[in-house]
Amino acid sequence: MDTRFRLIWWTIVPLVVIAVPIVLRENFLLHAVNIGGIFILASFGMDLLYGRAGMLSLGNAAMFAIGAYTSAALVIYSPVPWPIAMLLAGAAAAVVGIIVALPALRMAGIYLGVATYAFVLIVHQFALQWDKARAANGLFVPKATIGPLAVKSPTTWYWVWVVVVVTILVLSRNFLRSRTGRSLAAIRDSEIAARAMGISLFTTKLLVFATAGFVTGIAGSMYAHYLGFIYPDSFELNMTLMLIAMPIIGGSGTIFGATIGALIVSLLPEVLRLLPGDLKDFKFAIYGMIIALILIFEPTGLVGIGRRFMGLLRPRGLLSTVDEQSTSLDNLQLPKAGGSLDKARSFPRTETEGSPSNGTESLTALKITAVTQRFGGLVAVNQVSLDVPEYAIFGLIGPNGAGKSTLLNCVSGFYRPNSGSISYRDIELTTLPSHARARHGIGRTFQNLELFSEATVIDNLLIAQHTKLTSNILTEAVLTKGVRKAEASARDYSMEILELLVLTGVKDRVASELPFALQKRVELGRALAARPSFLLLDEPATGLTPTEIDHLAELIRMLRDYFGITILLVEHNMRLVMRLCDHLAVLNFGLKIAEGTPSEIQENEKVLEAYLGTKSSQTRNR
Amino acid sequence: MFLQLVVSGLAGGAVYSIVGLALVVIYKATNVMNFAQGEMAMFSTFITYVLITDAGLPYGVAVVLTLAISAVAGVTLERFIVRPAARESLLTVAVLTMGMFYIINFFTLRVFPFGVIPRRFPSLFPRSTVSVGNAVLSIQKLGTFCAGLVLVLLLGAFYRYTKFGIAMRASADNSEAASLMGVNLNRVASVSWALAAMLGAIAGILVAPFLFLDVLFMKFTLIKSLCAAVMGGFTSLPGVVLGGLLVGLAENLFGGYVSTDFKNAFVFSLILIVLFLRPQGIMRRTQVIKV
Repeated sequence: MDTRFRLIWWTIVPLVVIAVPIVLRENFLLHAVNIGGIFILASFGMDLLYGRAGMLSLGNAAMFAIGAYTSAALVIYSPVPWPIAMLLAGAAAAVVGIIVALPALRMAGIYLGVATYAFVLIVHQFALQWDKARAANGLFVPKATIGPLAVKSPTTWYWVWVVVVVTILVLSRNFLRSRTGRSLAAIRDSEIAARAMGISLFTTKLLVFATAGFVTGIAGSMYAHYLGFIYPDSFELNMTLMLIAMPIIGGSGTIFGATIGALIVSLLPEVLRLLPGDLKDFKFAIYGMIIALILIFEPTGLVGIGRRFMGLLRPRGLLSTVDEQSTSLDNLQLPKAGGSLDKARSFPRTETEGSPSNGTESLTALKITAVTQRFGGLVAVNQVSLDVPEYAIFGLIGPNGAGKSTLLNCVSGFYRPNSGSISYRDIELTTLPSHARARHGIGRTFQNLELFSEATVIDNLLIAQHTKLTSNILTEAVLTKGVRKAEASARDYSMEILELLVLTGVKDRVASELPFALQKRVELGRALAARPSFLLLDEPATGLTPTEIDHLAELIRMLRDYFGITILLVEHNMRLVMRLCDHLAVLNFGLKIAEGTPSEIQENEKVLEAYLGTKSSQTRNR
Repeated sequence: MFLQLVVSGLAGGAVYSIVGLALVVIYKATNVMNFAQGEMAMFSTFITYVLITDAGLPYGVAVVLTLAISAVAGVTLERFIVRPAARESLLTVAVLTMGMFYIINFFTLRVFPFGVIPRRFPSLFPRSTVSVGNAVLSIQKLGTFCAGLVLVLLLGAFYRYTKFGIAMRASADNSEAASLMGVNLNRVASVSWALAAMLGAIAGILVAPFLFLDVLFMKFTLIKSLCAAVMGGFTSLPGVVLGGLLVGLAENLFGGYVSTDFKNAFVFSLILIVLFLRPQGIMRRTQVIKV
């Protein structure tokens, strides 16, 4: 969006907001607008989970119901005034959100959808039983009051929800653009990479469900007091569908989409009422058809249609080209002196530790002791021990299926070895979860790229700095000075890495749109952005041309020589391995069969046998 | 009382198993989580109802005609709504089928405007009872269970022994490889949706005499069948059947001995616990993530 457009935008929106109650007066349309406005927060709560974090929750109607009933019960049975009751309703719904999140820790996708829908049914049943116990059909909710002011007329309600919704959306926009928001994109695009970047899936998922619950509960409270009457059936299947329809129709993953979607879905029946026939009775069928049409033709919803209309979006599926010159590694340079990258180079080194160049006795960085990893009957890694010295470029080679990647996954914590132990700089890693290992400075890249594919290049690098930032959702929401400063310096740091890797030209491109070689480089940049002291590289040369491999070798050497990062490299490309590594270990069928310098390995009979079959015996027979 | 509850549970469970199987058949072939499965079954049941009560056809003829119409409807849905969106993510298509839920509901009400008022549905089996010891068992429920059992075995045999069944299994395992081996994936998709629509029709016809027929009568059946399918990990046919029977038994035994009011809440809580403990389904082994 250019600035001119932004200016027009920020003039039009407030004008529309002011004009609506004046134009509509106490019209029935204002009532529909109010319902829509109240649903904006519920729609946004849905989108936090579905659009931002990629989790299909069908349990949001339960959070909404809990918000509505908590608020109603507090105002009826306790002296708590409504605004406080609304906040408490949000808190109660956040607790329900956390409970609904529990299945999300164990399952994803459609399973999660089914499991979370169970909560809607359970809450519905309890609401029905409560009605039955009171021998009532629904619950009358007293009108809301703010201090001495009774919120009654639709116009008053209009301003109440506008203030509540705008406040919450502004705060949300702030945290969505910071560390917390990026961690949602990370778990949406790749849970594995998120863990490798030090993002705890447990914390992130519970947090986003709690936040979604809070905003949905606030919406539920306003809904109950605005309508003045609630009954269990209104919080079931139809509401679940409406909540999904809203962000999808508007455009998932954007606050504007969630907002416009909520308004459209709520206004639709009123518009249908103006049309001839009995179309209004079929509003849900019409939601269904709109959802179907949008998902088939433009899954980014109205926001996507609008962007396409303004020519801001390229046609779907068309990959734009990358200017090869601007990203060529031919003129690879060291980081400029005095920049934050240059300062960060001392990060892994301390006075007491050796340095790669002085040739003194090397300390062990990573110690793998007798690690065994079984999959069913298959022993993928069998009693392997390795000592990787500080500042080494340590190569791990072996034929396909030798257990190299498995061992790497044991080190980064994706697999729990059946026996043996792994420690890094005397920190016991064996039982640590993968995201905690990332926090101890262990970074990695993946054999089959695990970029955050829908995020931009620079966001990929910012996500990697997750553990280096300390802000939380609350400080981000109010954008404290500290948060702003930390965000700015994280951005600077990312920019310097992009400069170093000659990726500045593609910084705002979505990662999945880039050519393969560039994606690999972005992944390396992402690993570097996490400021690791130890880097696991899983087949970085795969799919690269010989020239690209030469550049890669230069880069990897720079990582060690300049940044002092110890490197454990799994690779098939012998040219790269022999040129780069100062130590090598060879695995075959899960066993370590040799270890030594590249020249020693090249002479090793066992190794030749593993790679070339029984070559030695053939020569002997000849 | 115990035996009666067990028979009721097995009858309900058989229906959940059939709809669960329909969900799995579609999921295996097209990777679609079909939330509209229950509504498809509802539409089919209305056709049978009209053929029997309005057209006066014999029960058997009505069922056969219904199956044929359902198959065509299933193929149509797949071809014109699901397939155009097939390139989108699993979640997107799942949401799309939720949209289909309401479209079918709307369409059924247009074709059968009487669908708003619940109606009695004629049963295939006599409404009499049989005494075993001191328990009085309903023939209708026993019949429903047996019909379900036969259907499950037939489906299993189709998957295991026929050429097309093997092709369907192959494309579920690895659709690219299957298509390289000459399996027509579009045809597998069409046949699966037709099969699922027919399974749904039978389930609807079996369960309708116990419930009253209206446009929403399959809602709870669908939800419990989803639970059955999830318990089977969405792939294991025996897992789905076992899951369906467990759901049926759990709800009837809890309803009989503890409380009918919280029957559904109990079943769903149970599902949540099972899912939490075994997210990969009750019959599948844990899968190792490949990094």
